[in-house]
Amino acid sequence: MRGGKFVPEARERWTWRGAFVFAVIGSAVGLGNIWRFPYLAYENGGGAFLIPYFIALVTTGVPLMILEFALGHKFGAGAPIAMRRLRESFEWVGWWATVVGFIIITYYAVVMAWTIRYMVSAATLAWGEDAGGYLFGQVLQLTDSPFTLGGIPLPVFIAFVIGWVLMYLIVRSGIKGVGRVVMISMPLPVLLLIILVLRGLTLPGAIDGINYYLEPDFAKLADPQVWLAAYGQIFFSLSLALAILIAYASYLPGDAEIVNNAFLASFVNCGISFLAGLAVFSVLGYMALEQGVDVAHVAAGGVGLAFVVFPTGLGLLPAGASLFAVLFFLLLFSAAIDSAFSLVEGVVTSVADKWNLTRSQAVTAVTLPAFLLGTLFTTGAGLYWLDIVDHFINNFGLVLVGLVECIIVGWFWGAKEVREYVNARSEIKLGPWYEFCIKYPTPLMLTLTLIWSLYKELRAPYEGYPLSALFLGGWAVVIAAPIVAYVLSKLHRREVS
Amino acid sequence: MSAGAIVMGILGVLFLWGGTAYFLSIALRKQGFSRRTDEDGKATSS
Repeated sequence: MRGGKFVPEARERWTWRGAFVFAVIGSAVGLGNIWRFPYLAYENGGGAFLIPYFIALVTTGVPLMILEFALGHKFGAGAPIAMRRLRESFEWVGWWATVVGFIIITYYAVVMAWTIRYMVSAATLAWGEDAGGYLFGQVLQLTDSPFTLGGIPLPVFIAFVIGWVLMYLIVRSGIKGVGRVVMISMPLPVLLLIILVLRGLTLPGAIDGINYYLEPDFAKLADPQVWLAAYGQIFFSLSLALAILIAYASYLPGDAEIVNNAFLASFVNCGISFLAGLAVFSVLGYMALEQGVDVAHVAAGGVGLAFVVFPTGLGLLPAGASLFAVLFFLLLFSAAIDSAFSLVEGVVTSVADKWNLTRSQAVTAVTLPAFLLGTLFTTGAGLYWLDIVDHFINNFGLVLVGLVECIIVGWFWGAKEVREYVNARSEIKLGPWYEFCIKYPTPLMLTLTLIWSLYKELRAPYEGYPLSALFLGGWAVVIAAPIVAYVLSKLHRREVS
Repeated sequence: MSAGAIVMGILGVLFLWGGTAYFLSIALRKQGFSRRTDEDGKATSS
């Protein structure tokens, strides 16, 4: 920047196209691909779920990703300043996405710390026959209420520090450094997943597990919830509305490809989710056979799948149980790390662009408070707060940001302008369908997702948590995010003279 | 394994990984991946 005017040449750039594509895939492929998608598919019609999932990918996922790439590329800045260059009064929307990203990284780093902690545990299969007791008792030292914080388990805290040091070093190394890291951190989980799929498919009972995963129940497609689940999964898993993609695209060179990069990254992300389902359900099938129960009895998602069910299943392997357990947690860690540092990068770019900070200054300004706030989630009550904040920030914060972003860009900047902008530099030319998707189905599905989440929330308190905890960790956080964003947008912008 | 699960498995691979292969082939045919960017953000040959 010079004299307040945007000078694209002054900005750091991705050294080559592959680095950008790998970084976007690495950001999108995270824990949700492994522990959320397979169970979601199983619960929502099995193989039939692939139909709404694929439609959601093409009508919402790819169009929104293209939109965020276009914003970052055209305005050459992180989310807030890109929005500001679109219209000054929109800057707060960019900050809203940034604040949501910041909140997510505070607890995502803790989950990543658990995966580091479990890599050590996996070497000796330390959970024995009681993986649940091991996780909640020994590892997390879970208290009996969100308001009883308890202590901070030292091994988890050490892993938490290791995770943050890694993220600090990677993001501090600049966009070129990120580009170098993703050349390893993006393919690694894919390779590990392939190893686990091959091992899983050769186990007895694996076919029964896969059957549960892929057996289509087409009647489920008449259920609107299945469609909302598919749209929600696509939205959550592509790093949309988190200031990440706008930041990453802002480092693209002027003549960079946009549309095909978005298609490639989105399809690889969803392909990996599909592959993860094969790995997860083949092991669950084996586990069910060994325990003499139905696959439905062992099927799970989320933390329960990753840290309780799957470790139990891997512990039953006839040979190399600890090796495959280590590989599984390495898979989780490698999937988490580039999603984690992409969240940090999104916030760092926003902060650096607003106040013209050096990268070191911006990284320190972001990582230090995020680390300190995240410490809450490492306490004995951390899992409760993590669960509450994650639930509310995803279902309300993230979806709201996406909706507002879509309306602003789709209707104010103009979906047509986006299409013409990206078509001028892309290998694939978008037709009028793109404008239609951005203006109608995407905002509609996000609105319906929001209404449905609100209805469920008002019907019964989430997971039976005390209302005070839900208000403090949920509603208050969701409401505070746009307020903080608005305040940040009003702060004086430091220009370089 | 049921016929339905096999069909959906094949379709899943075809759409998601087949789609990836298709977009990758377009990228390789057109701009490719090897173009590097110099310090000024301009594309240079690899």
